[in-house]
Amino acid sequence: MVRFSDKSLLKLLLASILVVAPCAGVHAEPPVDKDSATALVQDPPGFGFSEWVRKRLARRASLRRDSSSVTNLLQPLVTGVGAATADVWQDGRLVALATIIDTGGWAITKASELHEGELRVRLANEHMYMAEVVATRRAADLALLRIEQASDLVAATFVDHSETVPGSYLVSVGPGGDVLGLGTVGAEPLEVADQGKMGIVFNPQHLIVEHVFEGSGADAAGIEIGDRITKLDGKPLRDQQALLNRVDERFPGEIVEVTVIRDGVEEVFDVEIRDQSVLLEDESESRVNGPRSGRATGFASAIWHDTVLGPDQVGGPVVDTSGRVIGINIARAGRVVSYALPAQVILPLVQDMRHEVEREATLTGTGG
Amino acid sequence: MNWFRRTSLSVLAAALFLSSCPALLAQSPSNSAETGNRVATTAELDPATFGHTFVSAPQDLKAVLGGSAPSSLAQLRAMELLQQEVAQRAKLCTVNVAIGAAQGSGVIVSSSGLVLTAAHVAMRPGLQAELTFHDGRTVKAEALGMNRYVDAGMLRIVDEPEDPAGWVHASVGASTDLRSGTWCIAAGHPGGFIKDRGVVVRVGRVLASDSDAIVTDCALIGGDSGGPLFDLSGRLIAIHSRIGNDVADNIHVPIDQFLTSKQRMMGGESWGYLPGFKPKIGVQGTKGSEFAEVTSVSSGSAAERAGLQPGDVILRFAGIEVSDFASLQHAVDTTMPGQRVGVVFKRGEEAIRTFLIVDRADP
Repeated sequence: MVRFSDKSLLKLLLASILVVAPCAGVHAEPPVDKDSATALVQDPPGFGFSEWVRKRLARRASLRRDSSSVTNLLQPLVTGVGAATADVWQDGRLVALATIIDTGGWAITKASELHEGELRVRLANEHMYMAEVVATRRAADLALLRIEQASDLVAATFVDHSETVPGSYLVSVGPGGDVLGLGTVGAEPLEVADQGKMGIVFNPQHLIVEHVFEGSGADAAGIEIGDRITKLDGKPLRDQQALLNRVDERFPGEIVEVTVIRDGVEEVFDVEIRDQSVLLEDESESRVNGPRSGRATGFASAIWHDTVLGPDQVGGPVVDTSGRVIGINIARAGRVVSYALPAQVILPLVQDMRHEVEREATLTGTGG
Repeated sequence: MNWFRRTSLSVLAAALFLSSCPALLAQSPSNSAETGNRVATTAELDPATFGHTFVSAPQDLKAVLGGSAPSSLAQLRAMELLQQEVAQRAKLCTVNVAIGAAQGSGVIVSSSGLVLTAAHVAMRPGLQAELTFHDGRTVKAEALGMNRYVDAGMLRIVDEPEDPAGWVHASVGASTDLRSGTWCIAAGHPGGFIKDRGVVVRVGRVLASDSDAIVTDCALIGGDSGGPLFDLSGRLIAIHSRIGNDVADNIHVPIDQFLTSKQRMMGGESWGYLPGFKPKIGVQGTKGSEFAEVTSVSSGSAAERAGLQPGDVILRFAGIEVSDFASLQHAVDTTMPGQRVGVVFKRGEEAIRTFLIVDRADP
């Protein structure tokens, strides 16, 4: 047995203490110095790295839950559905994965990762096709894509109902059948409450902005203390409750048009709704959480799992240990959690969206 | 190197919040003699006694239990069955631990209601804690002792169990000769207790271990501290303590640390400090003096920022009565760097109450 006796590596790894204190608004003093220990771990190999540390990190990689020997073993589970997994590119940038659901040219992906602009889908066989968003379902953050003139599509088949009991393994699938990672279902399927906020504190009587949270959508849009809010999306606001209700209807990642009076002059700002918990966290918390999806809350039913994913690795299929497709990843939500939408949620929504598209096609006479 | 300042921010925030509740400070008698007289039988926390989380693994998984990767999908599915069963059982004995406004996790390890947690969750002997089960039921508990060197802490449930057979509890394993690669299951309350979600389990493997700490890639976050780490057979092998920035840097306290010093901890003794987290306030006094009289205050120290001066006599620190300089030292040792604590001192005839934020001693 190889003993890990070098205390110094453990010291290198130190470490945040894991107590939660729910104290919104309490901000610790900002750190000053660069964390030399962590920087060492993050530097590219061969640059400031000692041979000693590199060897140990390599050994640790071979022991991880998704080491190469484990992912090789999982490969047969994902090969089939891997052919139905595509990359979604927008303006030359990889934004998400998509799951092809019908060889006739239909795919689904995470809606909030898409923006205005040219959309392309790259299949497992490296072929690139134009695509367009033909329908969305905001509450589930799903977009239905129509892939143009592709004749070489492979479709994923979802299971009708999946039993994802806590402790079950899940495998997330990447384009061409890459194993993105092995994870475990952490809890029973649950509702993830919408945490979307503009990031302001306002006077309830006069709707005058009293505080703007740093890093919030309001901050980025240029809302300032003293602005008096008069309209949301062009509609006048009767009272503070109307303002709160309208924001509550919005999910993180969505834009709300805010009209304010500043120095007697009306001004309009596009404010992005952002996740409240992300707004309130300090630098150390955001570092341990790593990159996350802009929309990581507001799902009526989601599967909690611990597979480590990048924010651009959501939208692809998730399979169980029999290779059955039980859903798609819908968000990277933090260090310990990724959310998947279960097949039971996806299937009726997909059917609904396809009906909607067919109806519109009939109405406009463009044909199926 | 000043890495502490930033890695301890969550501690800092916790401490700020806690000390804004003076009631909490008042109810912390730190009366270790009293807790020491509580029932403490040797049968508690004994690997030889029955526990509810152990699940016998099929023979085919022998190599996997020894730390290997599964060699077939059939083995993977057998591991999954075990993990599902352990997850179900782990849920029943993993609790959320709330002391004041801070939340961590813990695990029940005896039918009599002994609970293991992290030292920084239990904070100090005698504190009152509220434990919440996965389904929202709550019980009262009291902090026993803690070994801060390794971040090991204990609590005891004060309420009577509903079931006369006692509390559902974890099967205690051993961390001696723990192999790297060992598959493990982490349970806890990431982000604090969330109704309708309850306990969350995660998978990972042991990446490194020594007698003081175990590193795994079971992803942990705030709220998980003090929660249990099981092996694939449901034996408790460690308690969650802290994390690094990388998602694969999750550090746990080996169970053997609890087994070795269980008598001291059950007796309400608290000692040591987590390496790199030694508290300091920056006052000097005379050993053996009758009062905790400050003879000098270090420049730039916590004590100086709080306005302490030579000649001040400290009466109370962090909720603990102080009688001489040695007892002041002991009271400081019960705090964490970054924590905001109350101080009562006498200047001339006047008793003054203030707060200070504890410094970290140089390693």
